[in-house]
Amino acid sequence: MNKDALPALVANNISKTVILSNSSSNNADAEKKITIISDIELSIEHGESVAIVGASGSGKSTLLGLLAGLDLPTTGAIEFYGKQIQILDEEDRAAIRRSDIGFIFQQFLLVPSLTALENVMLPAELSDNNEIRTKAKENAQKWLDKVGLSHRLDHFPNQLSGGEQQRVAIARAFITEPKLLFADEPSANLDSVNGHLVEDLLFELNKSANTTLVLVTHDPALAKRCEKTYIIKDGHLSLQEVPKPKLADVTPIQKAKQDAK
Amino acid sequence: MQSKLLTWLGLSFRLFKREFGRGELTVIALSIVLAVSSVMALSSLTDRVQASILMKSAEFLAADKDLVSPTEIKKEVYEYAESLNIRTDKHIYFSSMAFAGDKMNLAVVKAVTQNYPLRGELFIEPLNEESEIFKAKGPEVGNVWISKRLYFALGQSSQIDVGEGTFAVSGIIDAEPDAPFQVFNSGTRVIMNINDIPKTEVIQPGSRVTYAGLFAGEPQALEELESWVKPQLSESQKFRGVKEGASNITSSLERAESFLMLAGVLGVLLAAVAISVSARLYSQRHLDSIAIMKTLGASVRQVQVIYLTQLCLIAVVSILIGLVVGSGLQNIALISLAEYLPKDIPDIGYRPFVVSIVTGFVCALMFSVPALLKLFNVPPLRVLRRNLGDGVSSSISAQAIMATTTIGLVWFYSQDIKLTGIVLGAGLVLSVLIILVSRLLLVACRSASKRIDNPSLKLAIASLQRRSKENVSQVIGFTLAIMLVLILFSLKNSIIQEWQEQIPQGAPNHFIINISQQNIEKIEQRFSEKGIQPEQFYPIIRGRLTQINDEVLKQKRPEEADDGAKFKGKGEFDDNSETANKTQEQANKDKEEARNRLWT
Ligand SMILES: Nc1ncnc2c1ncn2[C@@H]1O[C@H](COP(=O)(O)OP(=O)(O)OP(=O)(O)O)[C@@H](O)[C@H]1O
Ligand SMILES: [Mg+2]
Repeated sequence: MNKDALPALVANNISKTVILSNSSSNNADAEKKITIISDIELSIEHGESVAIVGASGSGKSTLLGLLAGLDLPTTGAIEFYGKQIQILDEEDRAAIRRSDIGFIFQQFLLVPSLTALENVMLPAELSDNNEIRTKAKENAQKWLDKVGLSHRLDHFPNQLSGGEQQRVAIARAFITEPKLLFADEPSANLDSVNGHLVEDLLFELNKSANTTLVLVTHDPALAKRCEKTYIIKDGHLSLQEVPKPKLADVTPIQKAKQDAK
Repeated sequence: MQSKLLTWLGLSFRLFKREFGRGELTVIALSIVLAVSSVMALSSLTDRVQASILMKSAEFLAADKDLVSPTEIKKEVYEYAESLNIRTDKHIYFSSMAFAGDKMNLAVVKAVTQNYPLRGELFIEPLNEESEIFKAKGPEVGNVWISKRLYFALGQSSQIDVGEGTFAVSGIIDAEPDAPFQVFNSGTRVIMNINDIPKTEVIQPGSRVTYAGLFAGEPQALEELESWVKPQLSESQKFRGVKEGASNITSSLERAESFLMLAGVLGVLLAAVAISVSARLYSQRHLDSIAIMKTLGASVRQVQVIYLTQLCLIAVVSILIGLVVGSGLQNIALISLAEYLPKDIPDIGYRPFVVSIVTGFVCALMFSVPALLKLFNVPPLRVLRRNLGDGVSSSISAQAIMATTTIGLVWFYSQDIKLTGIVLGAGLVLSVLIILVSRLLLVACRSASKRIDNPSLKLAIASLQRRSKENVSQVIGFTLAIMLVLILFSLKNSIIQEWQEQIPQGAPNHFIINISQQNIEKIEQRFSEKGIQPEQFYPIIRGRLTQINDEVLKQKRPEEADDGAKFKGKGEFDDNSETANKTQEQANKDKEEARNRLWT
């Protein structure tokens, strides 16, 4: 209860600077430092769905990497349910990711040598939680059923369409019932029908699982389906003030499935 | 905790199942099979051939080790040997007149215990013709076994006197394992029980007697005995083993072994290059999978368990296959060599297994771990920044590991510092040359590419430059392999040449000795009937060379000139008046001895 009262994610004045090491140039002093993002302030409540929009190259993925603990900020602090994650080492951040965070990527990123079912089982099998591990297969089947792929359990990623792959990825993201879900351009690699199907699924499952969602996109229409939208421009983040209606009416999943066929 | 590990192992096995049979893992597996089977085949072949020759030689000695002495051997030696679980046997050799009625003949006597023979087999033919030849231990007290020639020389008497003792002749010696080399042996031999010696009263102060203690047992115990006995020996006592006895053959064999094992290195080296290349490709292909797993929260340890288990599975499976293939190849080799080898060859010892299993694991680990280590260190951020952690190039330290491993293997197989040094030195020189040449070529390419407009050519040159380190290390690997082939080729020639030089040109394969003057004509006739052209017939006399031109010869015989028979006092007597003929067919080494003795 106490934990739920804490914001899911808080970013305190974070920035990321990278050093461009161009090995082919001989002048060693000409090391170029570029600051990709700076002065980022944000706060996300538990159960909230938040969109981060911005043009290509504006630093959306960089920010997502920092928030998810995949990368460390150059300055500033990131709090995950009150816990500072920028001071943890890679192993500890991995432990947080495996228990509390789910991911969906633009390129689906399924393990090619595992079947759909095994891909969904993967995070459960990596889990420290005994029950999740033992129920990995059962739950994987359940989640694949929810995304409408119960007939594709034994297919390998290269035997699935892009939309199907992303649905497998969604099932994979939900299987450990994470507190926080990161999605980086989940529908950008899909045609509009499949893209919408995937978006609908994502929002529907997110709502029923009461997961906090951080969605990165360049698509304002998709961003509109989130409760809050941050805009990133030239490395700076700002909250979009315009109040907007809550979750646009979601296409029923059954109908969407029909569309896809 | 346990179930966690099991889940990871299950995941690992699943990945393994999917990957095996296609792609890089198969290449890695096949490479390990190649390395293990070649090492297994070569080392078990040389081991078995060597062991069988040593065993045969042990039979010639009728023991594994013997202690030869002109004076009686202290009983502490036997007690110590027995305390080490070594079986012992005592011999006394002397020569004496043997009498039967009015006949008499000089006899070479060997007194033995009932443990005789410790190695090899003694066959006795009973005096009554009906009974079968039987296998025997030493004769019982009061009995002797004598050679056929002595039997006839003494008028087929069933009772003979040696010195003051009278003995029943209870059999004819049919085959005696430690029979002296029979060129000069008169063949008038007596084997008696050592407890009958006092009866004969032949051993008097000053009489020429040779004592021998014989020992057979486990190699370790024998070694312990040897290190205990050796410091106590007087100058005239000798502690000898089969190896010393068969030194010519064993040293040739050892050289052959080094040579063959170097051939094994070739297999291992090729495997190493293949493994390191495919491990790198495999790692490259799995960067994403690992980045995904890490993003999903896999710890480095989980990733290590999952991937190293796969490697171990591959290693174990391929090592097993390699062992089977290797022993199969070895059997084929043995069958095709059967003509030249003793009939019963001992089983494969544990050594070839150890050597090839070590080889398999060393190959699997040392040559793929550098690539895998890179793989384990892939940052999870790769899921967002797609090219992060790309270019699993081998670092200097990884290449150093591989180079050290290769050199270590060369030494491990050849057990020869000089050879290892040669390979190492040549490898270094070659590597430096290759690096220099490739650098030069790259520089030339770069300056050329500035003047070239063709974009695809530019791209090719750029990628060549980017991957120059890897390309160079592969080239070095293959060049080393080629270099090894050349070394092997020249070594082969020199080994064969050395062997050939041991035997003089046109050395005969068979000898006939103890031909009496009046038989020469008959024998020549017989030869010409059979169409055989013998060398000249030589008369044999026994004498001592004291001086060659002005050089006075040493009175003491050099050690190598001792062959067992001579030293033990066997075959001390030439008996050219006898007319029995003996045909000898012996190994090259024996031939050589025969020649030496014929010409001295
Ligand atoms: N390690 C790095 N080295 C150099 N440049 C970097 C590094 N990380 C990020 N950048 C640069 O920072 C900028 C932001 O990258 P990022 O991937 O976050 O953009 P994005 O908003 O996700 O773009 P897209 O919509 O195309 O995915 C890019 O110009 C990228 O080239
Ligand atoms: Mg991006």
